[in-house]
Amino acid sequence: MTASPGTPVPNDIGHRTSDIGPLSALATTHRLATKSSLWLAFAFFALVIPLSYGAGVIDITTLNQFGRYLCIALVALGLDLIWGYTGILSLCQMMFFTLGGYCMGMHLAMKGPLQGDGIPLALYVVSSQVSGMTLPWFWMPFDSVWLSILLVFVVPGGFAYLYGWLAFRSRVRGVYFSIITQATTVAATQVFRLNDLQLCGTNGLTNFVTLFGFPLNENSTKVGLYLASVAALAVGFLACKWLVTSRAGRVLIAIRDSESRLRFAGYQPVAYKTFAFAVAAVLGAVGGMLYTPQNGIITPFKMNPEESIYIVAMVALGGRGTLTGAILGSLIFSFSYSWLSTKFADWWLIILGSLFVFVILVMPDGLVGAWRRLGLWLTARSQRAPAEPVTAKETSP
Amino acid sequence: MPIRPSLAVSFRSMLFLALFAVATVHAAEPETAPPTILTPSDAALLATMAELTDSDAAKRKAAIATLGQSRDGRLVPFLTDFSQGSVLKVDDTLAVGPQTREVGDTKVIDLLHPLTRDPLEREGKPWSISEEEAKSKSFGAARAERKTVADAITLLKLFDPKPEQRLSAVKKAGDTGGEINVAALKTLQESERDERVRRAITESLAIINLTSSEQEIRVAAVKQLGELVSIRALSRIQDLAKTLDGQKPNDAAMLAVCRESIGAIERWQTVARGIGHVFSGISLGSVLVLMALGLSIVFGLMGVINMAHGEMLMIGAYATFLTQEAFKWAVGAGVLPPWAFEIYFLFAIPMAVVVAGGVGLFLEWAVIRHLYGRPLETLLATFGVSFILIQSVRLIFGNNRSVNNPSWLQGGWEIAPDVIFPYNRIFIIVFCAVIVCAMYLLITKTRLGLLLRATTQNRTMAASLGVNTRRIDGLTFALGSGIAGMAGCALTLISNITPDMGQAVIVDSFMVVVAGGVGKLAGAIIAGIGLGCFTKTMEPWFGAVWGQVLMLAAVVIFLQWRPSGLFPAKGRLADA
Amino acid sequence: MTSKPVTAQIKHETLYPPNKLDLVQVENVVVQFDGFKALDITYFGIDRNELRVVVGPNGAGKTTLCDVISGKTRVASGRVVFDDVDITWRRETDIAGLGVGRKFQTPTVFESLTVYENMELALPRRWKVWQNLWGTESKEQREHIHHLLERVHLYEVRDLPAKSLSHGQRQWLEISMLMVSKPKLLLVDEPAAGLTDKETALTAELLNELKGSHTIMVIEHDMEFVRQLGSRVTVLCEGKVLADGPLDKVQTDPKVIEAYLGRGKERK
Repeated sequence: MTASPGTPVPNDIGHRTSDIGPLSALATTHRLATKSSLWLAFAFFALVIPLSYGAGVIDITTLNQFGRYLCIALVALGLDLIWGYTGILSLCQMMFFTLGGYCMGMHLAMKGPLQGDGIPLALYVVSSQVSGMTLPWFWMPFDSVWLSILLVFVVPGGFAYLYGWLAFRSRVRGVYFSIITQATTVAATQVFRLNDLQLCGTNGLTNFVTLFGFPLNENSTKVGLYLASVAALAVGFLACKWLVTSRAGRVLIAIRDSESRLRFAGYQPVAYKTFAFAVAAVLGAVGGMLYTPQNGIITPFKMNPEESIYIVAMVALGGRGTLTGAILGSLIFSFSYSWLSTKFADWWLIILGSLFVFVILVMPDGLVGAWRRLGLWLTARSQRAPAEPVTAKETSP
Repeated sequence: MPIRPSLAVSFRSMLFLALFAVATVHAAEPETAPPTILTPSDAALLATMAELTDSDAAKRKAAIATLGQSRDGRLVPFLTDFSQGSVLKVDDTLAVGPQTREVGDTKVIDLLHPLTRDPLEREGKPWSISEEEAKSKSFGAARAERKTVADAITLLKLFDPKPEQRLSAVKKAGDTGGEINVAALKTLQESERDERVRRAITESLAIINLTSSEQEIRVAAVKQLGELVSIRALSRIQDLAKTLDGQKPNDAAMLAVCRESIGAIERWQTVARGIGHVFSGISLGSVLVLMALGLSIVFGLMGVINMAHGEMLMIGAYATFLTQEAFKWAVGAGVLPPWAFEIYFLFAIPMAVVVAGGVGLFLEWAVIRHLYGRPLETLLATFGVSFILIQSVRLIFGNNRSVNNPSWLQGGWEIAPDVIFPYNRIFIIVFCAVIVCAMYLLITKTRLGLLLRATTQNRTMAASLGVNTRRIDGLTFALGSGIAGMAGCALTLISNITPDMGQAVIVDSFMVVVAGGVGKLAGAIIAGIGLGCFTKTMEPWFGAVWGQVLMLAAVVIFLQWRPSGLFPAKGRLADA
Repeated sequence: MTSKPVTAQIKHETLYPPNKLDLVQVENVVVQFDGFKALDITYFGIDRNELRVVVGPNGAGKTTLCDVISGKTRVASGRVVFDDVDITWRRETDIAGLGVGRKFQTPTVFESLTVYENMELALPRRWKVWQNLWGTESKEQREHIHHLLERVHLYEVRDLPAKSLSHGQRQWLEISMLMVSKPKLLLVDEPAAGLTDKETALTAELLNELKGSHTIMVIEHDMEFVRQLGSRVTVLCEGKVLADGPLDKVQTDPKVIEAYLGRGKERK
């Protein structure tokens, strides 16, 4: 029993260094920055932005823009949960976002200008019926704001649960699942574009006036919605963090590593995958719910397959399986999108495509991964002792 | 209803046609375009044409009538120009100038020969005049003459040497009605030997008879149209029945005849439509089969889903477009004879393969081989590539292009009344079938196929036996892309060429791969044809959108009991 | 290949009588891969608390037998009974839930989880989603895991991701995971493959400790290792049961020598 297989794999990157002052300082800075980054980010969005609006440094449009981007970040967070941790690449996350957005949008339309027998204006203008039109039954529940918010959770979540259950049960996975989700979002877009569906067709839902009785065009309401988005993202982040650090989170990672092995350990991967898929869908739907009043309109075009692919690009850019990476990536992506797609409209798609190829070939673990590797390198170079090995819990393979 | 001024014309034309028809029954029908060398009779024709610029209205009318009876198809564009006022007489030379061109700030009109439509030259240069000048020298049909000209055009088309042209003219004559048309149709009926045209003539005459003032003729016409299962006449008979129904007392016998005919026609219509949908479903499906074949060979070999596969199709389509443009240019510049344009498509096929295959080879070399064993990353990277390709092509070529089908792919094979299999779709089906067979032989009978199968089944083993698996990957990827290029080439025959045309096909192709099972030739063929037919037959009932949704739902439900497709792999390879 | 059609003459009934009390009963099972009979067993059973070693040349169907019991491979005909439950058509998760644990031939662990987390996932009866959202393992369980990890020299690396482990460490980790999950039946597929002699000895020791209190089926190539286990041996050849009994008796069986052991001795 004197064999030595029990010793850890030696980590010899740190051996040849002498003490290098600046590097050591940099390593400490890096560590501090990593530790405080979440608090700093939260403080930035929850305090700095609203206060600088109050002080007149930024205008309401910028604040509103930030709010909308935070909603998109929620979708990215959900995708990170299923893709980064569970290894399921879903290409229909924006469909759930739009479903959530429609639930809220229908409520807002009901509270907006009405025509005839209580028909929302947005629905009235696309209707082919000239007279005698009644409100379709599925619009009725959206008269109540609380019921609408409940449905934001129930409709996309329930749909994702059923869809995921059907797909995962028949062991549709890997690229197959990606393809089927993409086909689904293509089909869903087409369906929502139909006028016959009585969901306002390609025009989408608009003519929003009030939410909870607050007028949407007033700046105070906009600030309130912004703060709600910050809160939703913070809660979503904490919930995801809690989920991935729980045992269930480890099961999700185990699914990513070897789903069939897990089955022989007695776990039912279908249940976990369905659960994660539904959670991700709900996160997206909440994003859509908060996005709609801030954006003033929601259309089926938000379901277009490329919108969901943008979300994938965000998570890939930020770094998969890190949660923080999803948020970081989505914010960077959203801002560069609004800048590049107006300034270089013709070149935007080419830039985006190159970004995809570049990130995947050169930075497979994204910005957060690069940041972590930088930290490891700094620590290794600046310390005599071997570097503390990185825990693999959060880095993707 | 014939109007008074053309009565004389119709009379004369009947006489003339009767004589002429007897004389030319046995004349060979010229298949190619008439020669550009002017014959002596052309000189006479030109003299008559020049009379259109005469100031005497009666003379003009006579000239129009003569031209109408001349049976010369080249006069159709000329008379059209005449009715639009684009006939010019410049310095005693008769010319046509249908199109205006902008040179700097001024608009000029190029003069063309009225008969051959070749550009006219003056002092060795193309002859063009300014728009202002043209205005004073142009001649056109007066309002009263337009009807006469239109009749003359119809007559000319009715006696066109090409059966296709005659067919459409016969149908149009039936729709227009009128004594002159009846007379012309009857004359044509005696001489016509093409079965379809004969049928159309009978049909057109019966349709015209529906408006006859005599009850018996009307009843006979309705009966005849019912027997002919004339879909063209359906709405007219329905209108007739409706009018009859509204009358009191109504003619019960007539109404019954109408209803019987309507029933027969509608039954046939359903059948004809069904056959048509299945047929176009098969042709769409065969393109899908080609796409799925490429996708699934690559997926089987490398475990890679190529999201840019649709763009390979698009590249193949643009290669076809460029080949066509090159031929157009070469024919225009006189490098190639005009008939060469007819065969450009045969050159476009290898072009599409080479260009799409080359792009595929580059893509594999530059991106995909670096991502081996990471299927989801590959999927994303190829997404990026597809964005780049779409936008680059859009920047270079603009948004919407189309190719002209060579004339031998125009028209269709009417296997039964109103059941037409267009030649281009038949061509696509045959083309795809040939490629699928070739692929089958390539995979099962050649050394490359053997290496490909070996690498697919056990990469490590193949590598240790000395197979250069990297090279096989590259070749296979290029092969898959080349097939997609050919699919794109075929698709140009039935659809427009747009930068995002691949996106429209790719989702369906994936569904074919999913439903057919990876690497299963038979599965891909059945699933492809099945999905194509399913979409096409669902469309008319549910609309394209719900058809697509139904198809997706069908695939998802199908996977519930067949997770690995129609023909799953058995044994050790089906690893859970 | 030295195999001759010896199997045809063997009377399975006399060789190996069916026993309704066995924990695992594999009856008249045929498994086919593209027409090739990978497994064709009249009867195979393991008694409760028995350690059974299954040996046989390559392609004899040893792993396929494991696959059939654990639900990875479906039978063409016949039935499999585990603990008086017919599991022929059950899913692998259900079978695992009934108490069949398995170690794979190529050690399969969850690469990006740490060694400890791998062990934690293997803890029994915590399989539902909602059970895993809250709470953590009990103190006893933690100590049990630590104890096991110490035994296999993995305690020091318990917080390293499993992908950094060597082949031998993975073998042990998977065996430890199997032990911590406390199944009624342990299917151990080639636990000594790729191990040094000393590592093999430790593996044998671990299995011997479980012997008598657990039902275990070990598949092995290494005759030295089989000898260390000192248990009843079943010889499979071309998908059929060729011989059965103590190692010494089996080793002297001329058919077995011809089919398998002869070659094994030569090699040694």
